Amino acid sequence: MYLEFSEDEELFREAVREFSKRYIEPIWVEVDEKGRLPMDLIKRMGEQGLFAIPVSDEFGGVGGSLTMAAIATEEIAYHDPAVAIAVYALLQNGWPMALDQFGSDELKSMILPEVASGDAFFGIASTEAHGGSDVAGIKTFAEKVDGGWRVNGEKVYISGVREVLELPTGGGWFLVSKTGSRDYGHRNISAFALVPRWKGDVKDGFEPTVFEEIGRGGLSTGGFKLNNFVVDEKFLIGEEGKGFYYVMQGFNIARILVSAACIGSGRWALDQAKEWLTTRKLFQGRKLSSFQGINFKFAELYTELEAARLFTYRAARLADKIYIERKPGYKPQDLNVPVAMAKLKAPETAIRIYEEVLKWFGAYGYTKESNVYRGWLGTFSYVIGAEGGQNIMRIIIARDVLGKENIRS
Amino acid sequence: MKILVPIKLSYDINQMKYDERTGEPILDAVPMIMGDMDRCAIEAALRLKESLGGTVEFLSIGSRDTHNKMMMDAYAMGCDKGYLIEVDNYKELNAYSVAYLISKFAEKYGPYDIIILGNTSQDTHSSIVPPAVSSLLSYSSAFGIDKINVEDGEYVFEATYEDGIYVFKLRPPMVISVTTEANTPRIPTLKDILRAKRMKYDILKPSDLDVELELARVNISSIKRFATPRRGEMIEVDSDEDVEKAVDRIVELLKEAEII
Ligand SMILES: Cc1cc2nc3c(=O)[nH]c(=O)nc-3n(C[C@H](O)[C@H](O)[C@H](O)COP(=O)(O)OP(=O)(O)OC[C@H]3O[C@@H](n4cnc5c(N)ncnc54)[C@H](O)[C@@H]3O)c2cc1C
Repeated sequence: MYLEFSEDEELFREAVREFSKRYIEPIWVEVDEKGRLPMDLIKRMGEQGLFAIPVSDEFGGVGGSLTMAAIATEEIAYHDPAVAIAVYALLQNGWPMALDQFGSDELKSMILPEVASGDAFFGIASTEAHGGSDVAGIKTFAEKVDGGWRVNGEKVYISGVREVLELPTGGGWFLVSKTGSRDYGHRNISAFALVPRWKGDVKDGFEPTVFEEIGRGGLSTGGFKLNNFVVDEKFLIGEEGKGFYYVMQGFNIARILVSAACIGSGRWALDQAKEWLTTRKLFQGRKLSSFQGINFKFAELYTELEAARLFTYRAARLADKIYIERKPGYKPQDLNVPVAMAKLKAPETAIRIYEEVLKWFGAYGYTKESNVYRGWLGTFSYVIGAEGGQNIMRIIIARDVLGKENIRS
Repeated sequence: MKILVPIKLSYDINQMKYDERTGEPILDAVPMIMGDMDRCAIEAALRLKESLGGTVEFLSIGSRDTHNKMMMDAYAMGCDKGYLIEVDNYKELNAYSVAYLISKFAEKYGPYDIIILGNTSQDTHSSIVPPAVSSLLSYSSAFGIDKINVEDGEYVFEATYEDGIYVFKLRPPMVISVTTEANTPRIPTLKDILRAKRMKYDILKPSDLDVELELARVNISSIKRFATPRRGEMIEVDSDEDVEKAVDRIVELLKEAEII
């Protein structure tokens, strides 16, 4: 596929770049350092239409595409290489899009306009303490009661806990929970919109905590206990028992944007390196960039980044055909391998770039002043596992290419 | 109120590329954009429309292939109606020809209360077009404006020239040109861009304005980069004593270069 953007996509990229230069670049270090996303920035991003981009305008979204959301995420991450702001934006595009695809009109018209305007957060709550990679093994259980569900369980490492508590409207998550039976497996998983706070106080039975992290300061990660938390039946997303299929599709969507964040941050790091390598001189006035040991590595990383970019936008274009244009003959499963390849490639490339760039910067790179380490720590969350661990990407590719039956031990 | 903003597709001077050997710019490789001052002109027009009502129209001269994105950009910012005068070799038009086309257009499609332009274009920087348009149309004018106020139906413009701040009070019809100090242009949202994508602009030929274009061409014989060779010297400073020495060295260097 030849990667070419349309005129409106290019105009949009320029607009996001201008926005990011004006409002994000001047504060990204402070956001990372202080560990707080300014609420007025979130509001401004909402007004600029940077959330709910691939959500239909009927439900308050922008009516754009996932490719557009990837463009926005990449540009924001370039201007916020520590990625907290970029991740906030990507979550507010990916999971609202998943809700738009599978939720009821009632649910969508309640939640999506508030997310689009920046007044509410809507993320993903899947991971539990036993191991986030094993979604079929979740233990959170929703028991059917009159008019709804009573949910008990605990979720950990969930992005957006503090934001749900602090944003004007509040918000919640695309929650996956067992229903019907507690047995291991994916057929008894359902998806809900878990909304513990909406235009008022926190609902009973929701007990949040916020964790301290090593990077990506600004966007909170936390956990919560659900203690007889009552969910009205209108909050069930799609059909009961289909939650696993919905959440896997949601992960596919979100992973494309995760990859876009990593290439934006990686591109920033390479641009920093370019400036440094072509101006720093040693050994009697030779530019660092003149040493083959360095410029070969630069060339390799530059190539890897471009490859990751191609993977990412190819997956985004395919997702648009499936979910936005709804072209006949394209199925959600077609996305599995292209997305897994993008998510395998982009975060690892970003990390490799940071590890080299930090070394090229010498001791200066090891100081806080250089700020390069912030991008390293930020993007590292994505090789660790946010939106799916790297080995899970390998499993998906191996499973779909070699065949399920051939990878069982 | 009817406002016209003529806009130009200019070379992005931040992304100029030169042939290292000859110093000539490789113009085919330079992206083209709407200039910053033109963007401020649109913003000024939109703000006037928002406070006083009316319509904002925009006009460019060029070809559909190269100009389409900029036309979309102007619509995305919020303009109401766009026109493109199609001229194949638009890059060869001189400033007077451009002004002539604009004035002929304004005569036919106007009358306009205000024509707002960028003070200079991003690439050629002649500043000739705005005064030429105003004199061709015999509109009142003020140029290099960096502040706009409307007080009791009177338009008050401020411009900073070398010898001080000038205040102009004008009444329509008028032509003004703005600098980048005039405002911070709005950034179109994706919704604006998607809406703009569906909007059409009218395409005219110079002959529609009774203009014979053969007369108006200019050939640029040569463009070159004039680079001043730079000399750098690093002075390391670790103590107060070093500062003294550094100052002496700087003075010495400036004298050597005959700057002081
Ligand atoms: C910053 C951050 C934000 C997050 N935000 C959210 C959020 O908003 N919502 C949410 O639900 N979760 C979130 N997570 C959690 C994330 O989804 C999990 O970290 C991820 O799914 C992995 O789960 P785990 O951390 O429990 O590791 P585990 O699942 O225990 O895995 C540990 C390691 O083993 C590997 N591994 C696991 N299974 C296999 C296998 N079969 N073969 C080979 N290797 C394997 C994994 O790749 C990983 O390296 C976030 C995580 C981080 C770091």
